Amino acid sequence: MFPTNNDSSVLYGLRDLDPQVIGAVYDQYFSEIYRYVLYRIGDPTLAEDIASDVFVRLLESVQSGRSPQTNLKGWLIGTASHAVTDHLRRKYRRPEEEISESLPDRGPSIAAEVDQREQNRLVNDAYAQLTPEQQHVLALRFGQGYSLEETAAFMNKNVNAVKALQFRALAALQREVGEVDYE
Amino acid sequence: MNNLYDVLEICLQELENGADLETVLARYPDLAGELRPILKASIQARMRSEFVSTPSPDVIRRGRAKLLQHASEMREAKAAPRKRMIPVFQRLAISFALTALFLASGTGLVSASSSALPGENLYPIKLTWENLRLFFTFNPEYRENLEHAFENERLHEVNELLVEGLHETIQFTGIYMEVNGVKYVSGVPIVILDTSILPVDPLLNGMAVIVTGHTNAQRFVEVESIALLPAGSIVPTGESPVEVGHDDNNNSSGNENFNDNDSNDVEVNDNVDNDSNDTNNNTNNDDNVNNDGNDNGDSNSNDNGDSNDDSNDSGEVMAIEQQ
Repeated sequence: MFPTNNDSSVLYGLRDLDPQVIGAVYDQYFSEIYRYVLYRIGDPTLAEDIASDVFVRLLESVQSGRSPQTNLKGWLIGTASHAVTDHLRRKYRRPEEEISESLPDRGPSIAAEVDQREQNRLVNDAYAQLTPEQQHVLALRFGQGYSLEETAAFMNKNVNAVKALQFRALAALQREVGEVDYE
Repeated sequence: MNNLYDVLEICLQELENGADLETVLARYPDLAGELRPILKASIQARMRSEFVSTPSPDVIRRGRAKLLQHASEMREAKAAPRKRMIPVFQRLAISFALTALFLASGTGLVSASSSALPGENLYPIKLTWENLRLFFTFNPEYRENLEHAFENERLHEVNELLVEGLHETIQFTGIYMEVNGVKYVSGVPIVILDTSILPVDPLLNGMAVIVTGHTNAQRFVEVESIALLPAGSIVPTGESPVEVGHDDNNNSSGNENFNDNDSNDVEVNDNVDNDSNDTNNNTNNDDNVNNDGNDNGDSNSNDNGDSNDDSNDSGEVMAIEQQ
């Protein structure tokens, strides 16, 4: 279950820019990386761009002699996390561009009838308020369904630290969402 | 606190396995008050993943093509000789030193290497000599002509390798054409494999491209990758593909000679799909498919490359607007 695909032949293939090896790595991991990014930012178009860019960064990293030190999947997840954080940082630096569309209408008439769609929007907004690390742990645990041990490995933390981080992330999410009834 | 984290993990597992929230909380009445909002949030976090779909086949295909194209460009960048910016005075000093060296050692080896093909022992000397000539050429126009001449030589080498049925890795530039289902680049038959990396699919007739691939005994080039050249690139045309089954006076379907005997450079305009044949055939209607291409190639190989210096005589096409 735990990925162990950091074998030397794959890295040699990537270093040689072997199309078959590159294609195989992409086919194996792209969907997973895409879903991780989509969970984090909620925009399919952006998720496509960022997920694709992660694999381009992999090639460039290997070419420049900075091969993944951990397993390949862990490297891809970590790079995707950094790419998302970079994107969010740039987005928050220019909030006027999208704020009118991205913020939900909090008018009383809509808030009065919270349907499923509205609830999802509230959760999205609440999720966006979390720290990047909190978003990361929730995306790994609840978006990707990774175990505590896998999540700990991807985050370079021990299991107890992940348990604590997960707790704080869920508490923060609940605070942001408020008492919206999920049932 | 550790106990709370551990209990949370147990509760999360049970919820994931389908247990009801209240049932789970009932098992930990002392912690229920603290756990309830956390578990509610976990349900919301999990619900968020339900709206995270897997990428569509189109998304996967686009990302794959983008990645492989990027890899192809990186490969070409690695293979291409780096243009170094050397200060003029240093270049002059090196020029004097190397000139003295060549005068002392003679140029017999260079002459012998002029007809070498990829894979032969003298071929690196041939390339080195070409690079030296470029290095010592200060006039930009003359330098550009030299570069075009060497592009012609690469095309000629590919033709020679195919004639001899040799297996070699090659790279050359030219104009893409498809005639009767057979694909050519400046007259060189190519086969695009499933693994070939293409910038666009399908390629359009008249596109100026750089091909990386392998020659083989079946006398075609197995394409590893094709990349488009930028607008304004000048590429050799070589021989045009011949369409079988038409009489000698039929000039309309791909058996024209790209080379225009009366003009030095022929421009490929933006009608690259259908009009490139006609565009390049406005003066040469004699259907002499092979002569011009061979003349260019032969002059390159039999004359130490010097005859290529005036590359405008060697049938090149300038890509004005690449699609």
